Amino acid sequence: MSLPRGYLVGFGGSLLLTLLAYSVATAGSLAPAAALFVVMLLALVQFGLQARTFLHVGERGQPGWNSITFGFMLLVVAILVLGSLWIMTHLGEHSLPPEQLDSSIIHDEGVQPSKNE
Amino acid sequence: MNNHMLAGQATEKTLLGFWVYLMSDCALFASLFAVYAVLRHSTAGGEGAVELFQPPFVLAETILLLTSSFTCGLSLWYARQSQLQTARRLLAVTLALGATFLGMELYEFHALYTEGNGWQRSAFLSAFFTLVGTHGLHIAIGTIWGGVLLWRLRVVGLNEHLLRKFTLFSMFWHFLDVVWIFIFSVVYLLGVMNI
Repeated sequence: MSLPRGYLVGFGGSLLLTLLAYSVATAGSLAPAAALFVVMLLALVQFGLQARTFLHVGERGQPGWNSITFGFMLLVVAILVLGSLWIMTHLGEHSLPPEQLDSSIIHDEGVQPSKNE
Repeated sequence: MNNHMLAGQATEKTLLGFWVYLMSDCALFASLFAVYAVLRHSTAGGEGAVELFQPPFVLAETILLLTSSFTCGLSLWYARQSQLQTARRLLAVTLALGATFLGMELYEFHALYTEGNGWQRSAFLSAFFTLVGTHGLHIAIGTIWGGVLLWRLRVVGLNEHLLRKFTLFSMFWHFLDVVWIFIFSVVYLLGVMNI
């Protein structure tokens, strides 16, 4: 009896993508921005491959609700992760740089440094 | 409507319910990933990902878990073909691979902890242990679940009820490998490149 083709494709492809991402990361020949892009792209491709071949997302005969909840999950995850990163990397935008902080406290707020220091 | 069709509808509902649980589990992991991504450089003067992680060790873990996901899928496929013997063997291989993965992860955690790089060391390590530990906890629960399933298959043999449980287990196991793709890529690969 022949083995199910989907699982073989999923396994072989995932193995290949894993080794590819690993060699890109450990070789260190790419610039950080390019390496980040390549590693994340390979992860997303492997995610799609495994979702299709192992979890059978969007296969014929699967209930439509599976795909709908899957799509909604993708939306929630994107908002959570990208939104958090977006906010957290821009927190400093409207605050004073550290070197101006002391002078701002002393002059603008009228607070004097303590004599003990 | 005959009994068989009723049972089929019940199975479909159970599978969808479990699927929705898995999708909500993604929200949990997404939050932990977001926390890790934000705190990944907050090492509080301690060692960071570049110094702490060993890529070959993690690659071995990854290949173990990927292979276990594959054997799990094959096992269910053979169970559906009523080839119980092969299905049970493949499920046993799956669980052995899962247990080895878990052992390697615990070894890594233990090594980090005893070298003074426990979860209390820095925000980066707190986020790391929470994210990877939550995945490891899922694997531990999955291994126990699979063990019970293997035992039931041995005692009861194949029936519709057990085949449904088997399907749920395989969904859970495949899902955990999918989550691991991102732990491998984001935590370890981007980590050793200091991105």
